[in-house]
Amino acid sequence: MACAAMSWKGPGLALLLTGLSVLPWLFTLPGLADVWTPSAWRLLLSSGLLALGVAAAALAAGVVLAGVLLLGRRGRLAVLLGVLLGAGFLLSPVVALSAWKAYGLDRVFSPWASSVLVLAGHYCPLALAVTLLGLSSLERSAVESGLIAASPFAVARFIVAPQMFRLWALAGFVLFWAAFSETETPSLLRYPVYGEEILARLSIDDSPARAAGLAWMPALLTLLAAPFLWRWAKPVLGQRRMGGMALGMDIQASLRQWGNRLLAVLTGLFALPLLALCAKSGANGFWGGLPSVGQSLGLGSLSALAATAAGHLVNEGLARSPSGLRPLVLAAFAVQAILPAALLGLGMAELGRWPLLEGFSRGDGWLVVTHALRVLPWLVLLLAGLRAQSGVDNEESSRLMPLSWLARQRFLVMPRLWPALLCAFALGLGLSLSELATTILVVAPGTETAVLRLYNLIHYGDWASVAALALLLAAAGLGVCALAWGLLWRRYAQA
Amino acid sequence: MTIRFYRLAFIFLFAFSGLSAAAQKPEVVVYTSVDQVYAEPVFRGFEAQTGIAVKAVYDVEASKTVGLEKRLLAERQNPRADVFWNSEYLRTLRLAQQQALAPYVSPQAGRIPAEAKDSLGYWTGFGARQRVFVVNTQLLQPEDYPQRLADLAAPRWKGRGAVAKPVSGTSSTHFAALYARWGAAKFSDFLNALLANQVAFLPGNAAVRDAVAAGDYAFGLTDTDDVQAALGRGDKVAMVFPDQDSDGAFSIPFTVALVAGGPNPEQGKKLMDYLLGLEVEQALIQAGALHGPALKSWRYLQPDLPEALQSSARLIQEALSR
Repeated sequence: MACAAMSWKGPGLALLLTGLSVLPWLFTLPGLADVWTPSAWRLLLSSGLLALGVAAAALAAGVVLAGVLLLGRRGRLAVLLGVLLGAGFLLSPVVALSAWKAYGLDRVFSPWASSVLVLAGHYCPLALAVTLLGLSSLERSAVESGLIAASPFAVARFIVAPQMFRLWALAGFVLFWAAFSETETPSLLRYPVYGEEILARLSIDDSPARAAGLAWMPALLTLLAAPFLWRWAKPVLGQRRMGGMALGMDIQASLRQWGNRLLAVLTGLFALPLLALCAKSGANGFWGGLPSVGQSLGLGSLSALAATAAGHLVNEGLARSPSGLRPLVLAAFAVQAILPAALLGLGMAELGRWPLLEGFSRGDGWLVVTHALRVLPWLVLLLAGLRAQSGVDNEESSRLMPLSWLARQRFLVMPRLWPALLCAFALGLGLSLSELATTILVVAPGTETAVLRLYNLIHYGDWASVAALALLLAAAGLGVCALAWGLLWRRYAQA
Repeated sequence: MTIRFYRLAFIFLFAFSGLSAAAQKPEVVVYTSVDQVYAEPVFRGFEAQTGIAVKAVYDVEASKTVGLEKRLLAERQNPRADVFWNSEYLRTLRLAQQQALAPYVSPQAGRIPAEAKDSLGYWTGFGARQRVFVVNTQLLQPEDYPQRLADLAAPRWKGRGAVAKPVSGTSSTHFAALYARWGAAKFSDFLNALLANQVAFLPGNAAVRDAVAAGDYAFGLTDTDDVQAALGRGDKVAMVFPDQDSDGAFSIPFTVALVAGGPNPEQGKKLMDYLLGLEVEQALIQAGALHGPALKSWRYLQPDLPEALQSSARLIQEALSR
C-alpha cells in the first residue's frame, strides 16, 4: 500500500531533484556554435586517452587491492592501507603530484603516464570501494560451492568476475569522466587537456559563451553514445541479488601468504606520498592551516551529507518510477558530471542574483549548495550501481509489510545500504575538499577554505606549509569518515 | 522517529542560518588577485588602523584568472564586492569597459603618474612587477645569462627556455601588449620563432619558476615576485631584467578600483586610499610582491589592450594547436 502511495511521488521526486540540479547549467547553454574546431577535437582525444588510462589503471588497482585485502590477513596492516588510501583520496591530486615530483618520478615517466599514475592513485580508492561493496553482495553459496571444486583463481574468473563485470564498467564510466574533468594535474605535467582549453577561453573571451559551448561538446557526444552506454549499464541497475557475504571465503594457506606479502608491499607503496609530505611539513603550516581546515571540513561535510541525501532520494524515486525514466535521469546526471565545474560556478553566480535566493547566496550556505550540486552527479551514479547490487529494491518484506516511507528507510533500506551511503559520503567529502573552480566563484567574502589556501601556498612555493596543511586536511577528513563509520556501524551492523 | 527527524532538521536549519549570518560591524568586501601571502598582512594593517573588517576573496593561479573577473561580471546587477585589487591591469581595463567599476579619484592618487591611472578615475595603478627571466644558476654561468626577450627564440637556447602559456594572468597581458606594440605580423613571427625554438609553454608563472629551479629548463619568463619567492626559499636561481640595452623589461602595475554599486562604498573608498598609500607600496616592495622602480622598463596602458588580448590570444591558440 505504501508503495502504491509512492507511485507518483517517486518519479516526481526524481524529476524534481534532477531538474533542480540541471538549473544552473542552463545559463551556460547559449553559445554552442563555433566550437567544433580541429584543435578542440585533438584536445578531446588527448583528454579521452588520459581518462581512459586513468579509468583502466584505477579499476585495475582497485581490483588488485580488493584481492589482496581478501587474500591477506585483515589485521592492522589492512587498516593502515585503508587509512593511506583514504588520506590520498581526500587530498587534491595536485598534492600527490608534488610528492610524485619530490621523488623525481616525473622525469622517469612521460607526461601521459605520470598523469595517469597520479590520478589513478587518487581515484583507486573509489574503485576499491565499489569492488568491495560489489563482492559483499555476491551470492555466498555460489562462491562457497565453487571453492569446494575449484581454485580461488578459477572462482574469481568464472563466478565472481562475470557478476562484477558490469558494475566495474559503470565504475569505469564514472572514473573516466572524473579523470576527463581534471585540469591542474595534467597541465602541471605538461599534458594537454580539454579542461585547460575551456579555462583559457573563459579567461580570454569577454563572455563565457564560447567556453560554455566548448564544455557542452563532450556532453553532447556522450548523449549520442548514451543508448550504447545504457545497454551496458542496464543489467547492473536491474540485477537481482539475494545478498550475502563472500568476504569470509576460506583461502588456501599459500595464497594467504602471498596476500600478506602483497599487502605489505602495497601499504609501503601508498605510504610514500604521505611520507614525502611528512618529511616536508613545517609546524607553522599546521597552526596557520587550522581555521581553513576547520571551515572546509564543516562546509565539505554538509555538502557531502546534502548530496548523499539527495542522491539517495533520487535513487529512491527511481526505484518507484517507470523503467523509461531511469535512463533519462541518469543521463541528465552523467552530463552534469562531464561539464566543467567553472560553468556550474558561473551558473550559481547568476542564480544567486534571483531575488528569492539573493540573501542566502551571500553566505556560506551557497557554497554548501554549490558543492553539493557539483558532487551530486557522481553520487547519484555511484549509488545507482551500488543500490542495484545490494538488491534492496527486491526485498520481499518491503512488499509484504505496510511500512511508512520513513519506517522503510529505517528498518529495511539503511541496514542494507549504509555502506553504500558511507562510500558516497566519503566520495562527496573528498570531491568537496578538493573543489577549486566553483569555490572561487561562489565562496563568501571572508571565508577561507583549505583548497584556496593550499593553492595559494603552492603558487607561492611554501612547500612546508603545503605539506602540513595537506596532512592536517587528510587527518581531519579521515576523522570525519571514521566517525561516520563508527556511528553507522554501531547502529546498523552490530544490531 | 518523527520527533527525532524534526529535531535533526531544526539543527540543520540552525547550522545553515548560523553559517549565513553576517556580522553587524563596518566591513568592506575586496576581491583580489594579489597573492594571499602578500595581501593578507595589508588587510590586517587596514583593519588595525580603521576598525573596518576586511572580507576578502582571493584568486589562485590555477583558475587562470577566470574566477574574480567573471564573478564581478556575473554579480554586476547585484554586486557583493566594494573593491577590486588586481595584480595586473588588463582585466581591470576590461571590467571598466563593461561598466562593472565606478569612478573614484583617491587623494592618494596625486603621487601616481598620469599614465598609471585612468583619466576618469575608474582605476588607479600603483607599484610594479616586471616580466623577468628566472635563470637556473647551476646550469648557467652569469656571463651566459640570456639578456633579451628575443633570446627565447635564439637558436642558442633551443629547447632550454620556458614561458607561461600566454592565455591568462600577467603573461597574457604581456603578450597582448607585445601584439599591440608590434602588430599582428611581427607578433606572429615571434610566436612561430618561439615554437620553432621548442620553448615550453607551461600552465603558469609559478610552474615556469619551479621548472627552472628544478633544472628542467635553463631559464624562463616569469614575474619578479615569483623569482623573489624562489630566492626567499633558497632555490638556485637568479633574476635577469631583459632588454636593459633597449626598451627594458615589461612592467605591470597593480590596479585598484571601486566596484560599481558595491554594498559599502564609503568603506571601499577608505580601503582604496589605504592601498594607494606609499606605506603599503613600500611594504609590498619589501615583501617581494612589487619590485622597486630601479631598472629600465616599459608598459602599455592603452584602452585598446583588451582588443589586443583577443587578437593575440587567437594567434596564440592557432599557433599552439598546430
